[in-house]
Amino acid sequence: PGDKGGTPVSVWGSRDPCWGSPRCSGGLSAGNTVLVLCPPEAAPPLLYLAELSGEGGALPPGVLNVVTGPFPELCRPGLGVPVPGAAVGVGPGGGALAWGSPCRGPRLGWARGGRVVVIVLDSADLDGAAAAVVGAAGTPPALFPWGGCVVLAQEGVLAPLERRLRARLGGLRVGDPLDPSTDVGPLPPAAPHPEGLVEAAREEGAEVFQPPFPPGGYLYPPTLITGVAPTSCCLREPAAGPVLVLLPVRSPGEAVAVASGLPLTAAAAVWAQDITAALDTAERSVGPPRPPAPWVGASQQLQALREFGRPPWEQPPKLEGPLRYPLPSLNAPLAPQTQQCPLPLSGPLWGQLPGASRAQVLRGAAAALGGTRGTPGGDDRDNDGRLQGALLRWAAHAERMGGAVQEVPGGRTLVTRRPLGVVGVVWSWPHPLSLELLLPALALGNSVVVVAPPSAAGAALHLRQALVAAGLPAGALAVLPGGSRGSGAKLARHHPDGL
Amino acid sequence: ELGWISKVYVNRPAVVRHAEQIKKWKTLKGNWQAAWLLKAVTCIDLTTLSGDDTPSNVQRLCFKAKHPIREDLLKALDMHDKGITVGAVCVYPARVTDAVNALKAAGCNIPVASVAAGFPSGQTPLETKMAEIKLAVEYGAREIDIVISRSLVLTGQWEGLYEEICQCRKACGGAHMKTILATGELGSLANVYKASMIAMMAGSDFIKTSTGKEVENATFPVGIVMMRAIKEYYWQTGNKVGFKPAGGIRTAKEAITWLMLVKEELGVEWLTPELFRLGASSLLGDIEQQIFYHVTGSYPLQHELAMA
Repeated sequence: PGDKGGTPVSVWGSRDPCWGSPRCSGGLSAGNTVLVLCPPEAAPPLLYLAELSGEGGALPPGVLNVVTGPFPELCRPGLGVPVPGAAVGVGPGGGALAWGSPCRGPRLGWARGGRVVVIVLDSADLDGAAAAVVGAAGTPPALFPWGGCVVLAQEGVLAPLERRLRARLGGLRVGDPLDPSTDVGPLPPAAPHPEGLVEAAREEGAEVFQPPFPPGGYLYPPTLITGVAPTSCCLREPAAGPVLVLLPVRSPGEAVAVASGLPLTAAAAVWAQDITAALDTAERSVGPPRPPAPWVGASQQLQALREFGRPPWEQPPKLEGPLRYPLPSLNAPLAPQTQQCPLPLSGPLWGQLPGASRAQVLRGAAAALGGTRGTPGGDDRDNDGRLQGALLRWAAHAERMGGAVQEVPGGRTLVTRRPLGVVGVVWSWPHPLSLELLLPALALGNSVVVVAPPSAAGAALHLRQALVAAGLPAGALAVLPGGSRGSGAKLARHHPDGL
Repeated sequence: ELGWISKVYVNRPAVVRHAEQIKKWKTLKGNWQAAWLLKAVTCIDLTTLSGDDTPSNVQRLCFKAKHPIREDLLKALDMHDKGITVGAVCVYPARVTDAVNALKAAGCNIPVASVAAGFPSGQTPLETKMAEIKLAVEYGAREIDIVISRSLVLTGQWEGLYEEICQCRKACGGAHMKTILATGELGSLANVYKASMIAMMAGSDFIKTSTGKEVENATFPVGIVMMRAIKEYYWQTGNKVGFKPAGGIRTAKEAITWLMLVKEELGVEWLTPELFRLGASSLLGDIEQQIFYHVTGSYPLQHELAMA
């Protein structure tokens, strides 16, 4: 707050109003001062939120600030605001914010709106799947730009599923979102209207089912489009609104392939009563580019139990287990080596290893670090001790992080953790290089690319050598010397999964 | 058509979740609530199935069936001349004659429904079941609620179940047959779906969730599964089969929720006494209380509403 001399520590750029406000509240509750930049079409909910938070002294003045203006000019530095400590770009306009601002703090990433992909296999409860799909089609995530829902059904159940979808879509009520008896609200402002895409689909020969509805305005009736192919424009171009596209597939494998080929998927769901088929399909949608976090059996909930990678009667490993692997020797001089390897942005091998193998590699690295003598630099020995401890700790975590079963109302949810993929890390000088922060990412199966200033890269390379000697695949950890300015942008151009 | 039930998959958690959401639907208020309540009244099968039924309480029930809602309340809603009566009166076979006579004396055309075929357990030989049905029809019952043998469902003898229901259908003759599936004892929702399909294929006019005497009677998940079976049967054959939840429905709010569920799953055409009934006894009292409240603004005292 300005009068006490505090500085804002978050800047949030928001293009999609529904995504912006939850993020604001997260920043506010953590004690930050929040400055929200948004274009005029996304402004109304945020301005209303700002107005409400001023009423009754709910928030002190200056804590929540909303500035509207044209994107991306709004994101130029030199806005006259104090330098923010962190920036979040939300939506496609947010990219300009994150990379164009003078923010020196962390970029917290941005949420992607997108489609919901539902895969219905032939052992699915068709009524349940139809009810869930139609329920999801009318709710806000599907109404975002680039929203909508794509249903991939196995050929044997395509016709019964289509009949049920039509029956349920006909029963949805469109109207005022504040009225609790309506199911579907209006289109988001400034979103591309779906009518154009639906017309194009009709011209391509697709069958379009829409309950009768007066045209025009911000309300659009729920629509079911069948008889299209992945090349059709209604799948390749963004369309907001309650538009469902139904595609036939021949097998679960083909469903995964088609789903991976669709641009901008935000969530996926698999419906099948055959547990093994369902989980197998969910697992297969791991390769890049993938729909994140498929839910099995329902939207928003995983409903299957399976054994973890290890039979439950085996004991979990001890933290300081005996070392059964040969100690590698690290007698080579540790000069920082410039590595000109191309950015390894497909690292499936490390992520696909089971947790036990990853743990073994980390333990081997700990042993290797313990075995070196005469490391350069006095305080490196302390660092090594801490690193060893961290390696052993994260090795134990790697074995147990496969998943968890949580009880929820109505049953149990199986949550499996999968690695993000390729994570880029940029360190800026003069902050000390804290290598322990790399270990969680590695332990959970991510491939990491580290950009460090040359003087600090030595320690990172030391760690890398230990890991590679213990069995880390070549592409899993890359250390590149470089400054922090501009490295982030260069890494981002290669589309890593985390930064 | 055994093929229709060979590949039945029911995702139980999804159905239960759907049922939970239904309970959260906004409640109706005002005139709309009164209208739906009157619709529910016309769909009630006023039931008395106790060991201590005698001609006197059956007669009282039949008079209540003719005048379910107090006359002046109906006049206040301008519905006194629409012939609002309950859908049917449901009694044991031994009491059918009393019910028929009482309704004739009252000058009322409501059908008398009789439970039969070894109600409530169904664990009697097929010959006695047939005899019971034939006698009930002879006594004047125009609707028969038969009970299936749950053991046939639990052991997967679908042809045997089909045969049994077909025989009961023949014994009913021209009477309207409701098949009670006793879903609380069938073990799984998939079994409920399959038993519903078999009952419909064998010629039932209605399928009914439960006898009212089981531990678990009519719940929303079971109702949803049975209604989906009815819809599928309608898509396959074009025949509309009715649905009757029975047992455990005691409040007006539940009755309205059942009506809303029928409208959502089956459609508006099923919201008539020909295709939907509510098996209930104390429900009528609660509905009358709610209508009293709507008309006068306060809840009634015990003596202000006639006892059923």
